[in-house]
Amino acid sequence: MAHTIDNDPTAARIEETARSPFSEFRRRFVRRRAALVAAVFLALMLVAALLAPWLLPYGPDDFDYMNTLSEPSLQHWAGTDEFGRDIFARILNGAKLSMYIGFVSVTIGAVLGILAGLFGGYYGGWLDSVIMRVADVLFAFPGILLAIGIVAILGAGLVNVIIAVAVFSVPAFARIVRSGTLSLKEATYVEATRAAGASDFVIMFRHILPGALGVVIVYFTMRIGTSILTATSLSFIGLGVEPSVAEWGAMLATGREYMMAGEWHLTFFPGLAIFLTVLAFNILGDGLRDALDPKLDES
Amino acid sequence: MLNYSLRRVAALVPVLLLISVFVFLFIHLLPGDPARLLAGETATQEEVEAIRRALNLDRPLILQYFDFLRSLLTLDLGTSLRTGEPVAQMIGRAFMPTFWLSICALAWSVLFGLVAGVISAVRRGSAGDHAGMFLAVSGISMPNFWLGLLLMQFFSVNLGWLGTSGFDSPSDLILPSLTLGTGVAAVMARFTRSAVIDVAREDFIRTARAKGLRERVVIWKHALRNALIPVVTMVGLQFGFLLGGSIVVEKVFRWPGLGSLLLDAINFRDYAVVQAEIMLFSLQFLLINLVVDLLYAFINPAIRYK
Amino acid sequence: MSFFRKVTATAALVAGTVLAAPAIAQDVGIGMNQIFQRMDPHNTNYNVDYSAVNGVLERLIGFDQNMQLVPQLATEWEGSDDAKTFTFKLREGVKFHDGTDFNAAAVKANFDRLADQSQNLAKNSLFKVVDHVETPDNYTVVMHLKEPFGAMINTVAHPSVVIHSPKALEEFGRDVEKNPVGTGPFKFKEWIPGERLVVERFDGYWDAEYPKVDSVTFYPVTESATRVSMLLSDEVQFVHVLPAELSERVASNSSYEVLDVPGITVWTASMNMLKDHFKDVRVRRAFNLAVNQEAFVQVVYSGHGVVPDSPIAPDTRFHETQEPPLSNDLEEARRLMKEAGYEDGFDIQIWGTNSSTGVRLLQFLKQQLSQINVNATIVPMEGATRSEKVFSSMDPDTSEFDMLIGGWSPSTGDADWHLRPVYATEGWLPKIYNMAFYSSDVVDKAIEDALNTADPEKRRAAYAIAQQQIWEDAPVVWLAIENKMAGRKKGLSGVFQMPDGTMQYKHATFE
Repeated sequence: MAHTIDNDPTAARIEETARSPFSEFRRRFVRRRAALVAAVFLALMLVAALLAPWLLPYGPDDFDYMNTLSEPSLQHWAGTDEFGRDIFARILNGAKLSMYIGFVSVTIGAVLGILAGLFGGYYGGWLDSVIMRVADVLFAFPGILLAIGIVAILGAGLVNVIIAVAVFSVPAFARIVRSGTLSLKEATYVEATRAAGASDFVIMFRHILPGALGVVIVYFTMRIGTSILTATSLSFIGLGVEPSVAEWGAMLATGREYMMAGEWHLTFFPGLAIFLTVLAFNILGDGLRDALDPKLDES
Repeated sequence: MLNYSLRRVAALVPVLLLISVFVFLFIHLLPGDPARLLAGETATQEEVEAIRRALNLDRPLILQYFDFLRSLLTLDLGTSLRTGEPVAQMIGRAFMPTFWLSICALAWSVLFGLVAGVISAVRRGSAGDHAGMFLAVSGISMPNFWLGLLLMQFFSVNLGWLGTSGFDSPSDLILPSLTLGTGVAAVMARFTRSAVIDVAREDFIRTARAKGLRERVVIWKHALRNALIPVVTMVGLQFGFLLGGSIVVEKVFRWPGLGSLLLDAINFRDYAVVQAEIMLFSLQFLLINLVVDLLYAFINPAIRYK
Repeated sequence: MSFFRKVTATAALVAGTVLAAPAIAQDVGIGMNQIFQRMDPHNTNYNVDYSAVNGVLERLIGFDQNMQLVPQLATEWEGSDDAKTFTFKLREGVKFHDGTDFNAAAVKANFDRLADQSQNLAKNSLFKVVDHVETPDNYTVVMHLKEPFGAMINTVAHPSVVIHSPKALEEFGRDVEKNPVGTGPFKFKEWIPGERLVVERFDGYWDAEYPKVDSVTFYPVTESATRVSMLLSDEVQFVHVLPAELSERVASNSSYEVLDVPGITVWTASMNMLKDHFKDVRVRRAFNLAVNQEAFVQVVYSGHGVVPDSPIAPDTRFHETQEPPLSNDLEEARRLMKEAGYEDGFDIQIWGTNSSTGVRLLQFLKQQLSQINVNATIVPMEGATRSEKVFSSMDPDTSEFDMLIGGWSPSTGDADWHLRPVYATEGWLPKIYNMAFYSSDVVDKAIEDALNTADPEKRRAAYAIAQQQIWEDAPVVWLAIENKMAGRKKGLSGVFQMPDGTMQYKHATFE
């Protein structure tokens, strides 16, 4: 097999990457400094979230009615909320939950969506039709309504929020992977591999998927942000995780009542946390994309 | 091409039927009793029963489904449980505000997204690239209700330049379409950047470069044109989302569109309105996807013979 | 909005030059917190509906700002000692918007419609006790009841008991809900659901001094920040309801004022007495002692509310202050819990609403109860889900919740319509609103005694017994009586909110 495709420069590059995939990946990734910073930021945040109980004098649920809605100060770096709870403590503790919701739900959605898009796009025919029509049905259904429905039927709570957000992600991934698959399966190097007698499975997962992965990773990182925000919307309409739990979306949604009253810090800090996290995921995504891409010219 | 198009259109029918079952089950499975909701929280049980009888909500489910199907086929759509108004009339009234809002939001965000995306792709790694993507991520990571309320505070309450809400003049489109389009612009920018980078590595671009074409021509004429396939998919998807009416933006800006209508209907379990409106969204979505797929087939003839 | 304002202004200018009418059409814009349902008060339970048609359709008897009865279309009224016959003297010289005369026959047509249970109207149940209505002369109406009902006068003052034009009732039937025709200072003009509702001046109003503005436009604006923004940019001149946490923002602007009146809605967390741990009165008292009501008013209503001193609000008729007042005594609460054998607490589920205030309320309760080791899971529910779970198919024996949040406002302003639905055995869910499944022979008997007479002093004595017994048994955790708040542009008068949560605009005047 190797013999027949030796002449193909693309195949040669794949071979080369395959020889030491991890070190190659690491070499490319470390070169993107911004991505490295983002990864470090996310890791630090996670560590801080895990260590929060030992780092801070306040717990996320410690209320103090004598000290409600206070502005940021040395005691309370991000101020306190309407129950006098320390907002900084809640943000650190909330990091675990928000990142967990975002990451898990999008991963579930992406895996299902990639499989559906890959098989549909590659095999075409009735399989493609069925998969795409089901995706259409899911897509046509307004996402927030689907989420309301799932949460209303299953009940509110962490797991159901994750399911609701994941279901909403599947069709988008399916469509994107399918369109990538459609164009890639005609590509020269794929045709060559097929001519060399590679199995469908190998072609799909070794040759087409890596090619489509660039767009998927970009979308994946964006979806994590969207998912955190969808969880926010669910909290906004009162269907998120239990509202006393420190979760960024819930903090933002309940804080909005005080936003217009001039209590800016209730929404600003959770908003900033969401923003920085989403930004970090996006930059990280770009870095991963460049590092994973087998065809990328180093320039 | 015609044959392919006809087959695709015919394929819509079973999908729509499937959706009708799905929608019907969905809305009837949701906990919530329209009679109780119409009566109000502090109503007595007698009051609730009175309303249930008045609305014929005690009929068997299967009959209610056939009523729904018949209303779809005759395009009559029934009447609202809540207001007694014909559903077709309610949807007709709400459609245009949402349509204009979607068009405006889409227009500026696609324009911005394309330009920012291409510039970022070309000047990859530069300060401009980072700034553009930073802006794009800001757009994605800002909750709509937050941005909308901030814009309203600044432009309407503090400066008094624009009306806060409602749709009484074209200038009322500005704030909600900005709010709604921010997320779309961000997605478009990132997506375009990614697609152009992908295409720029293809052989034919190298060939074009090798032929000595000017860089600007290479990028805008060759690269962008071929990067358009995934971008067109994305525009289609986004347009579909927008036409569904954004519940949050319409609520914040008191927009008399489909999103507001749906929110009120779902809150009151106004079955007829929810069913009809979701069927409409589905149809819009399927049609947009169809057009996108046909565009593919047009751009890449190999697809249509599969 | 501004666009429309310009159009009306231009139209008025044109009209003004021809007819020499006032140069500028005066329109009052009002932002409401909910969407409108039906413009027929006989067939709705929503305060927004009562409020919007308040200037179009009038009642025989109304309330003033302290929930005292005042004459509207009736000038005098009285009940017989056995509380079975009620007589109303009507105002003379009143005409409906369609030219029909207002008289005893018109009132009878409306009362008959409310009494006819086969109409399936939302408020038919209010008139279930009515046997028949007589009209001895053109301006006298006599109502005969099947059984004594001492609260009938206040029931006739309920915001739903309006008088439609009999001609409109005949012509439109149920559709009067889209075409209300009454005797008020404003005529119904147009209603675009979800967008706006407009009423315009009626020149033949019986009180020649009014109306003083040309039209009133209502906008349903469910997002509170948007509603307040509309007020602050002068797109509306009145907002109903103003959320407490935004009142500072309105008050800080010198062109606007905050109206803040004590309400009659008592918020409670009912304890499900079918569950073992709540059968013990010591536990129920401990719960009341564990909750700091003063802090509750501060945190949940930003200080705009009062701590209850009886099962019913001070402005509700026959209210009696109870002893001892609610207090926050954690030591005593822990002692009672220990005595009852629950020193280590227990786990409960509290159901509430998912409005921002509702969520705040639930969180507060959870925090307070944690101090006596009670571990609460709070479940905010979307309105429709909640009503289904709470009301529709509930068998008292299998009710899932331990505590249920609710607020009850007696729209008749009378103790009967608070004590009976919430604390009488006949009010048990899902029938009315007794969410604690509380049952006391003393209370049931006192409520019945009070209904068997029209003598106010006898009724007062009976309700005093009921209130005292309920206070002792503590079937609910009393939380707060929220103030009714509204925002208004300075210079506008005659538009205000009422303790029962409705609003009035008949006398709207710009200075």
